[in-house]
Order: sequence, then C-alpha cells, then structure tokens
Amino acid sequence: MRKILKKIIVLCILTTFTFSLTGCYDATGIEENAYVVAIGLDLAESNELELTIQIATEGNNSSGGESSSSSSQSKQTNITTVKCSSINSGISLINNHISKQTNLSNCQVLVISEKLATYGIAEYIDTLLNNVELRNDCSVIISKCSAKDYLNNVKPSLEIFVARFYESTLQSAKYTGYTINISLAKFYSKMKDTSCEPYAILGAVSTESGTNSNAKLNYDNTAGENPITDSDVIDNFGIAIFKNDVLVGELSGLDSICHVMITNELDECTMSVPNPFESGKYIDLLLTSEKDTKCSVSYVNNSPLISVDIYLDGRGLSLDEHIKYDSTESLNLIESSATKYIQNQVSNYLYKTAKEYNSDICGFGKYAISNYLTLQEWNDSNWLGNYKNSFFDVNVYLNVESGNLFTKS
Amino acid sequence: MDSPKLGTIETIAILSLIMANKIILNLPKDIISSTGSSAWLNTIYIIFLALIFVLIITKLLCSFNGKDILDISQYLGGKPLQYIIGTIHILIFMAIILLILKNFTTTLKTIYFEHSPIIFVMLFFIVAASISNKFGIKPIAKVTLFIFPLATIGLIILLFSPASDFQIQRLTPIFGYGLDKTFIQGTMNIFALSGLGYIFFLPTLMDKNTNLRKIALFSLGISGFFLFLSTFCLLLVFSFIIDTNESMLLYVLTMFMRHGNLIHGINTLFVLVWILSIIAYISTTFSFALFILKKTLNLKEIDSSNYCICTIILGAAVLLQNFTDFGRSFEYIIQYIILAFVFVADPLLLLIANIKQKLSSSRSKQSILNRKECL
Amino acid sequence: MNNFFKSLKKVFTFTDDKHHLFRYDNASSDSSSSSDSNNDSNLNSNEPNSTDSTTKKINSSISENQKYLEKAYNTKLSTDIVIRNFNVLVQNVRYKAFLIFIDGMVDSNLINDFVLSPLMLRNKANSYDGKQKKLVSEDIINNVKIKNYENKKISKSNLTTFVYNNLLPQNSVKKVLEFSDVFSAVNMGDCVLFIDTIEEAYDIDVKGFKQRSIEAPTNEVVVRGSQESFVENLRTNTSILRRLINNENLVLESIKVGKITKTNVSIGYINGITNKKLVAEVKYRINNLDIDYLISSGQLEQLIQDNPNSIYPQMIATERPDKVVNYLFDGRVCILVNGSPYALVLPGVFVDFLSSPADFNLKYQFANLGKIIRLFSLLLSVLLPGMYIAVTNYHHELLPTELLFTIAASRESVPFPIVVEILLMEISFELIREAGVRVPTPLGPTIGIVGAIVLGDAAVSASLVSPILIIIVAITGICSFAIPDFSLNFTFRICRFLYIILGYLAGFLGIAAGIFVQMVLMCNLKTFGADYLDPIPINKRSISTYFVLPIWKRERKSDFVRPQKKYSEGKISMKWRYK
Repeated sequence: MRKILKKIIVLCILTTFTFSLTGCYDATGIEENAYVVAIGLDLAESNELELTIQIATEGNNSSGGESSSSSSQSKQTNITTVKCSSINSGISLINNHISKQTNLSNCQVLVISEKLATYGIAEYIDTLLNNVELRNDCSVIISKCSAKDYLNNVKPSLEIFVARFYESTLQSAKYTGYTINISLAKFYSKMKDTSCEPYAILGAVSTESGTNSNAKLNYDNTAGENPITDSDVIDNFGIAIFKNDVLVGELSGLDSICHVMITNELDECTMSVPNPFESGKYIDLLLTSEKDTKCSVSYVNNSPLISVDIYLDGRGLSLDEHIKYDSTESLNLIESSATKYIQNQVSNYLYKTAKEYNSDICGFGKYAISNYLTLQEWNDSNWLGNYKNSFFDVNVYLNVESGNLFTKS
Repeated sequence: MDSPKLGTIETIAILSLIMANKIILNLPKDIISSTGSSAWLNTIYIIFLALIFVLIITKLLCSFNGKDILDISQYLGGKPLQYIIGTIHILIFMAIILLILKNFTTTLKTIYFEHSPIIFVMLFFIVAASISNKFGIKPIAKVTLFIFPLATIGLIILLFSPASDFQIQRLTPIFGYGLDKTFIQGTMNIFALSGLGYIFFLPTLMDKNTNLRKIALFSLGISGFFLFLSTFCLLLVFSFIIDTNESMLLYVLTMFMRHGNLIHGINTLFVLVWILSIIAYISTTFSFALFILKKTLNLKEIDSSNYCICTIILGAAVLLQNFTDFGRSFEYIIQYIILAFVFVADPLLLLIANIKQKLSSSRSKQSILNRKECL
Repeated sequence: MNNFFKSLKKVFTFTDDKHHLFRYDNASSDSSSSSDSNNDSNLNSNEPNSTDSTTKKINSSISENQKYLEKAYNTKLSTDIVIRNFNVLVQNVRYKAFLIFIDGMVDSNLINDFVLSPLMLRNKANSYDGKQKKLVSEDIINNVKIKNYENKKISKSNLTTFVYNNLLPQNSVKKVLEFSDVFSAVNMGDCVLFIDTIEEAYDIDVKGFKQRSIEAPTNEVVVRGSQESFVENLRTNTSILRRLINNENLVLESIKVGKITKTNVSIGYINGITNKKLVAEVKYRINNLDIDYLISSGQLEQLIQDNPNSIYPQMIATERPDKVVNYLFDGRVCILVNGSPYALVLPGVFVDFLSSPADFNLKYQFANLGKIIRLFSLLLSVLLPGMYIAVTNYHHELLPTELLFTIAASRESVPFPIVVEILLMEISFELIREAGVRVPTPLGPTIGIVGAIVLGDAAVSASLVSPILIIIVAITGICSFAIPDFSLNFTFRICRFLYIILGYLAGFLGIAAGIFVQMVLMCNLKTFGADYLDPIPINKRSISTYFVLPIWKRERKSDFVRPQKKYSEGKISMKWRYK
C-alpha cells in the first residue's frame, strides 16, 4: 500500500514539475529587451502628450570582434517618438512597433519640456514612480526646448556609451555647483512635502544666440545661453523652480551656486569676486563648505524671519602681481570683499524665490515645523502660501586661505 | 521518537525573526500612516506595553513547570477546553501563513513574476515549508539561526544607506496626528509584536534548563529595536510616506540606494534575503501548527497531516486572490482576532489557571514542589 | 480499501516510546577499554558460519591433515600453494612434519634460516632428549672438581610446549587448533607447521610479500607538512600511527569483516580521551555486517554511515597519517582497512571537509586566509551558474549598465537561450573532467587544459556560446577544485545542477527556496551523534572551527565528540612568556 502511495506521489510531483517548466513564464533573456536610457515628455501642438524614448543600441556594434571605432558612422541610440494620451499607452504602442520589448530599468534621465511643465506634471511623476521597472534615482531635467530636440542632440564626444555620458554629465554639479543633480524620488518627496517645494535640473540645447553672447559674471544666465562652443550641444545649467508641480521659474548658474550653499550640497565651486587690490578686476576663489549652514525661522508679525548663516572656506585661484595671499591684511581684504559679494548674491537669490516665485525650494519649512506640535496645526499655518512674506537675514562667514602653490607672484 | 528540544539561542532567533519579519511585510507603513510623524513615539510605547505583557505571562507560565497553554487549558477545563484552544490556535496560525503568503507573493508577483500564475509563486514557499517540516522544528530553528543575522545586517545596511538624506526635522511635529491617535488608538499597533503569542507554546519545545523569561525579553529587545529603527529611519528618509500608500515600502527604499556608478539596483539581493526569512517564518509557523495538532490529537506521525494542511493553505491562499475586497476585510478581522487572543484571552486563561492552582495548593502542599525559581 | 483504513488507524495511535539515536544498547555489553591490540576474543562473537567447515579441528594424523589441506586449497590446480614435507628432530626422535605456505607471500630466507634449519638440522636444542643432565653446581673438595647434575625428564605430553618453547626461534608464533585459523594464517602470508601426533599447528609469521613503500601523498598534497601517506598493508599503517602518537594509550582493536575475505579492519582510538560509547557504537556497527567480502575503506564507509541516502559525506577519508593523528587527539575514532590506503575518521562534520591538512601547520593568519578563500570558492562553485541564470533571465537590474550591454551584445549571435548554453558547457566540463581521469599520465593534465581551452575558444568562435559564459564555467570549475575533500566535490557538483534548474524556473525565488531546503537537510543530518553543522552556534575553542584559531587558543577538544578529557592545552600554553 505504501509503495503504491509513494509511486502516486512521485507521479504527482513529476507532473507538477513538467507543468512548471512548460512556460518559465517570466524568464526573458537579456537580448530580448530594448533598454531605454532616457524618457522625454512633450506637449504636442494638439495638446496631446508626446512621449520620446531613447533606446541604447551601441551594443550591437561590438559583436563579431568589430571595433567600436566605427561607431561614429553608425547610430549609438535609437529615438522613437509617439503621440499618446498617457505614458503607459505610449510605451505600449512603442512595444508593438519596435522588435523588442522595452525595459525601463536602466533609464537614467527623465526630460520634461518647459511647456508641459507649466501645466503641471504631478500625474506623470506619480505614474512613473508607480512603474515597477523604473529606478527612482533617475534624474529629472526640464528642458527649455522640446524633449525630443534635447534627446536628439545628445551626442557624447568623450564617451562611447550614452548611458555613461548621462551618468558623468550629471555629476558635474559636484564640482561646479552650476546645477544640481536631483532624482525622481527626491523630486517626488519634495513635491509631497508640506515644508518645501520641488526643483529640477534645467537643460537646453545651445543656440546660436547663446554661443555668440557675452559672458556674464559668474555665468548669471540659464541653460542654452552660455557662450561655449563645441560638439556637445546639450547644456545643463541652472535650476527649474516648481510650485507644487507647476513650473514657475528658472534660476541661473549663479543662483544655483547660492542654492547649493544654503542646502548643504556644496562640494566645491569656483566664484569670481571683486578684486580689492584692483578695481574692475576679479579674483577667482575655490569655495568649499567649512561646516553646515545654520538656518532658523522665527515669526515677526506673522511673517517668517529666516536667518541663514553660511560657513565657507576659500582658496585663491587667480594670481598676478597685484594679488597677495601672504599677509593677514590682504587676506582680510579679500575676505571682506568676497563676503560682501556673496552675501549680496545669496540675498538676491532668496528674495527672488520668495517675492518673485513664492517657492520655498531651499526647504526652510523644516526649520519652521519644529514650532508646532501636531500636523494639523502645521497644515493650518500654510507655510508654503506664506513664504512670499518672508524676510531674510543672510550672514556669510568666509575664511580665505592662501593660494594654491604660490602666495605671491 | 521524541523530537530534540530547542536551545536558548535558537528560540531567541525564531522569536526575533517572527517579529522582525513584520517589518518586511510593510508594517512600519501601517504604523506611520496611522500616527504620522510620531510613529517612533508610538513604537516605543508599544514596546513598553509588550514588555509588561511579557513579564506578566512569563510569571504566569513559570508557575506551571514546563507546561504550555494546551496542558494548562486541559488542567483548567479538561479535554474539551484543550480541543477548543488547540483548534483556535491552529486556525490562527493557518490564517497567519495565509496572510503572509498572500501579501508577499502579490508583491513578488508585481515586481518579478508578472506573467506567472500566483500559484506558481506560492508553490515554492509551500513546498519548501512542507519539506522542511518533515524533519521537525529543530533543523528549522538552526537554519533560522543562520538566516537571522543575514536579515538583520541587510536591514541595517538598507536603513542607513540613505543616511545623507536624513532630515531630523521630519520627526516633527512631535505628536503627528495628535496625542489621541498616537497613544490611545495607537495601542492597536501592538499587532506588530503579536509574535509574542508563540511564547505560549514554547515550554514543551525547549530544554528544561532554559529560562523562558530571558528568552522572551531578549527577543522582544531585538525585534523591538529593529522595529523602532526601521520606523525611525523610514520617517527620516521620505517625507511623502505620511500621505501616500506604498505596498512595499522597503522595496522602494532599496530602489533608492545608490553609491557611485557600480552599486545601484541591488534591490534583488535584499529581496533574496527577504524571501529566505519569509520562508523561515512560514516554516516555523507551520511547525507550530503541526505541533499543536500532534499534541491535541495525540498523533504518532504528522507527515500525512503535513501534506493535508499544505494543500488547504495553498487552496485558501489562491481563493483569497480572487476576492480582493473580502481579502482586505478578512485581513482586518484576523488582525483583531489575533490581538484578542494573544493579548487578552490567553493571558486571562493563564491567570484563571494560576488562581485555580493557588486555591488548590492552599488545600494541599504538593504544588510547592512544582514551583521553580523562574529567574 | 481495508489496508487504507488500517494505515489510517496506525496514524491515529498513541505516540511511541522514544528510541535512542544510537542503536547500540548500553546495558548489553561492557566495552573493555584497555584491551590489548591483538585481543580479539570477545569481538568474534558474531562470526557467522562460513561455507567451509571451519570448525574442523586439526587431526593428530599428519596425512589426514595434509589431505584435507590439499583438497581445500586445490593444490593440484593452484601451483603457488607450497607444501614442504620434511622430518623434524625433537628430543632426538624424528617426526614427520610439513610446512604449508603461499609462494610469493612469504620471505623464503626467513623460512629457510629460522624455520627449516632449526627443525631439520641437528643442533643442541632438538637433540636434547631429556637424558642429559643439567649442570647445577660445581664444588671443589680436596682439590678435586665435583660437578653436580640434575636429571631432567621430559614427558610426552610436553611435546607441543617443548617444540613451541625451544625449537622455533621466530618472534611471532601462535598455536592454532582449527582449520579456519590455519586458512586465515596462510592467506595472510604466514606459514603453518604441522607435526605428526600433535593436534596443534604452529602459525609462524614469515610475511615477505612485496608491497608499496611509504610515499608522499598523491591526492592531499601540502607544501608544509609531513610527506608520508598510508599504504595498503594494515601493519605498516598501524606502525606509522604508533610512531606518531608514541603513547601506550593508543588502542588498535582488530576485527575481521567479510565472510569470505575476512579482511582485517583496525579501529584506533586513544584510551582516556575518546568517548567509550562512540567506540562501542563503531564496534557494534562493524561487527553486525553480513557481507561476503570487503575490499576497501570506501565500501566500509558506505556500510556503516548514518544516512546512506544523503549526498553529504559523513566520514573523513584521508591518506595522511598526520591528519588522522590530529583527529585522534581530538577524541575521534579512526578505522584502517587492510588493502586500502585511505583511513576513515569519524565522526566527520561539515567543517572538517573544508579544512586542509596544512591548517594545523601554518600560522593562523595564513590558515584563515586559505579558509576564507575555500569558503568563498565553495559558495561560488555551487551558486554562480544558478545566480547567473537568475540574474540574466529575471533580475536584469542587478547588472551595471555597461555590463548589461556587453552581455546583450555578445549574445546577439548565439542561437540558444542561456540555460541551454550553461547546461551544454557544464556537461562538457564534466565530460572533460571524467575523461581526464582515464587518460594516461603523461597526457592527462595537458588534455584537460587543452581540451577545455580549445573547446571553449572554438565554441565562442562558432557562436555557440557567449564568451562571458566560458568565464563563468571556468571560474566555477576552478572553484570546485579548491574544495579539499573529494566526496564533497561531488556533492556540490550535484547541487550545482539543481540550482541551475531552480534559477531558471523562478530566479532568486527558486534559489532561495533551494538554499533553505538544503540548509534544513544539512541541519537535520547527524553522524555518530554529532550534528553535521557543528560547531555552530557556539564556536568552542577547538581544532574543528569555521575559522582557524591561533594554536594557543585551541584548548578544548571538539564538543560534539563528547570526549572524556576536555582540554588539550593548559589555559596558558606558552609558559615561557610569563616566567
């Protein structure tokens, strides 16, 4: 009896296994997927959503031992655009059209056009976050031109793979401060937060007018207006300001430096400050953060008074016979000139965010929230609506050390 | 053959894993959505309540030397009461397995197995639990001992990886949705530590020399610490979790992890560890259910009942998928039933049995021999 | 139907009484702990009746004995059995005698010089007839020497003792009464002397067969350690152990296994350290084997292990004596089988199969580095192909972006799905490995390496497999060679295929389920009373630990063996530091 039972059980198990093997339902090989490296969202003329996806195809060139030096002639990526009513229906149509199934797990960049952003992007951000494949650490870029143009103009000159280009180019914020690197999750977090507003990277295609324009001090202009000429026509410069999920304004490169100083994201940046030894000339300083910025919020007549203390370390980069870094008085002179200048710029930036845009992108709300005991009270205080009435008290403490290799020429 | 007894460390590992697994099953999200930014306060409050509970029931269990709640219910009300208590607890354990299976497999299916039928995913858990239960609880406890450090280290790494994005101000306002929601309605959140209900069955499963109170306190300490840590860190990282509703918050956190260009997308490794700990959780609960079955019905072999119960659970889990609304309310009902039994009914039973024992011992002096120093 | 209900009824019966893990029943026998190595009087109690009529006793008539032996050994057909008839001189009386031995197994010089010469040639011992007088003392009385003699008479009944005591100048002579013992003796290489009118025979040890000399170990090579290994002959092996242990408490009990071959098996342990119950269990199992023949220790291992259906090895098989001695001092038991150069040490837990013999000889830092590499290679050899399949089929996001594109590009021209590729390459690797074993030695390693490289290269050029897969399979193969134990290698080769299938079925879910079930199976395994995954959870300071401890910390013996003497070192072993 037991033997027969055993045989029956073994038979059942075998049948179960054979049935499980008949599909291997979800096993998809690597070569069966088309990997998307960038997604672009536009508003078409007919007020429909226009979805653009950039698929990496450079891998195809390296089979059979061919060197990839011929890649300049063949396309590195494949760009497909579709008009659709929503993102997922667009992706579905593209899946039908191209030979492989799209896979969003390597998407590095989400490009949204300015035009679309002014109408509000909450539904797109929510939908994309809900997507299982998409990693929520991809960067969010608002482009001044259309997303399609932006993606079409991505032609990396220093890299082979487009994916690597995106990774490296967005790290530049660390050592220049002219823009910030924000991920989808952080954008969403700030969008939902009742104590701050979201912001995104500002990108554009360099135009003729931009390339031929004059250089402003500390590049106080936004993306696409920079006087730089090369084959990389994409320019990520400045910050796009949002109020809730609607684009309300743009900040220049200089404003962006001020922003990273306040939000403790400054690694290092180069700033030109007025030269105290020679009028009309400027000294370049390499600024790093000495310690965390201290902010505090208090209320004066129902208006928030925000005081910001920024601590910086500087190193003198430019050198000529007039500039001296060796004595305390000359250093103090440089310090006072630089401090005044930076204070001025930061103040301007803060008042711009408050008065012009009414958008607390620096996140001062988190310092105000500690004055309340329950979430209900906080919500009733309506911080984000009240931000335009804020006053700012900015103090910059700069400590200039000597020059790099020379202290005097 | 008498099954081998569990040692101290193995029991601690089992209990801690049972309670720590709730973190994987999205419990911090429930706590946060009900209490807001004071979730960490609520967690401390729950742990404190659980501590009192543990002290009480270990004291009550101590006076019955080496007997578990089934023996005590037999002492109190004879065989009928033992059958009732045994049946209810078996059903509770089966319901727990059902709920874990449903929740976790739906999440796995969403992420990795879109096209597979749900029964395919469930089959792996059930078959692994069934095979491991052929050998008794001791090997499962030993494997849990291996898995537990893995799970905890993984959890710590995961929780502290976005440390640069922690904003301590996210803990404010201090009372979240209000004192009432934090402390009074928040008491229901003690469901997080309902793993303590397994303590009622431990005396017969453990060696004679082990100290139940020490074990219970240790496991409560470890799992409470992790619960607190996870709630605390999750609050600090995301501001949106108070308003939104994620089905698997920890998974969202893993996708957020990025260090340089190389370490990104390692959510799968964490999922591997979580699958291991969930399988261990299901196997342990299953073995407890089989143990109760064996004891109440005085069975010689539990292999056949092993297969029967497996099939029942598999069938019920698949059925639940088709009735989502019913499934959700079923979940709430089970939650309240478990709370009622673990934290109210069973201690009450123990209390009554203790009183009965004291009354009978005042008449006869024999039970003084039964009392043991429980410290 | 009735049977079904009967079996149902059986299920619902009361619980049975407990029975012990060991089948050996303590009360029934009293193991003698200080038995002599050659004392086998109480161990042969289970000796069954063999096909020969071995209880036949030796006759006093020499012609009958000779006829019986000629018939038993088929001397007309087997020409290497030699029966040498001669006359023996005892007390100046000639008796008929014959010597039986197997040509090729005896040392002829020993027989000639020390058996035949003293018996056949006239000398003082064999011409003594009892009528000689024995000089007792000498006196000088009145300048005359007077010698006092004593008459010594020998009775006929002392003939056997006389021959034994005076006429056989050999160091190992035994008296045998039954033909079964005669057969055993002659088969082992002794010669047996029969003398007319005596109902006894003399078993004289003159072994001189050719055997392999002690060489360096071929399969367990270490750079720093002794270069001796066991050989086929049991006595040589036991002599190596005696030399190394150098203590009278080493006990080597002898048992004969196999009804026809009666192979000599030696059980070695150190009296005062090893748990007596363990020794008793081992003896009980070996004594209760109903087999005809036993050729190697591998067969004995399969016959006495706890779980024959498990794929894990449960005893350590080694050809190194220093390894055996280290384990004997740890409180374990070793078994030596005549004819097999591999000794068995039991109980063998999982961590023992991961340690190399050099671990005891090197500094602990170096030994730990080796151990970490071995543990890592163990994990890789089992899990790497399965994880590769799981990652490339289900979990693409785990791969860095550039690697993903490289793999995708290299797979563009490959016609098979990944699982078929992997199975193809793994099977070819196994085939090469199996073939390499049988190729003659000068060509062996070359064929292995060349075959693998050429095969891999050719397969890539023909676009049958992708280059990355060759790397995966090569790494897996190299890691599997890093596992020190031969049997464990096989275990993990089997597991690897299971993980490949599981990985393909359900990615990391299948692999996790497989890991869990495998660990439960390993935790459930017990060998001779020790848990297979000991010394976890508590890593007591002994030689069997997952990470090698410094030598001054290896104070204790392994706990799972439950030795009589717990500590092998003092608290402070290097006393010179603190004086």
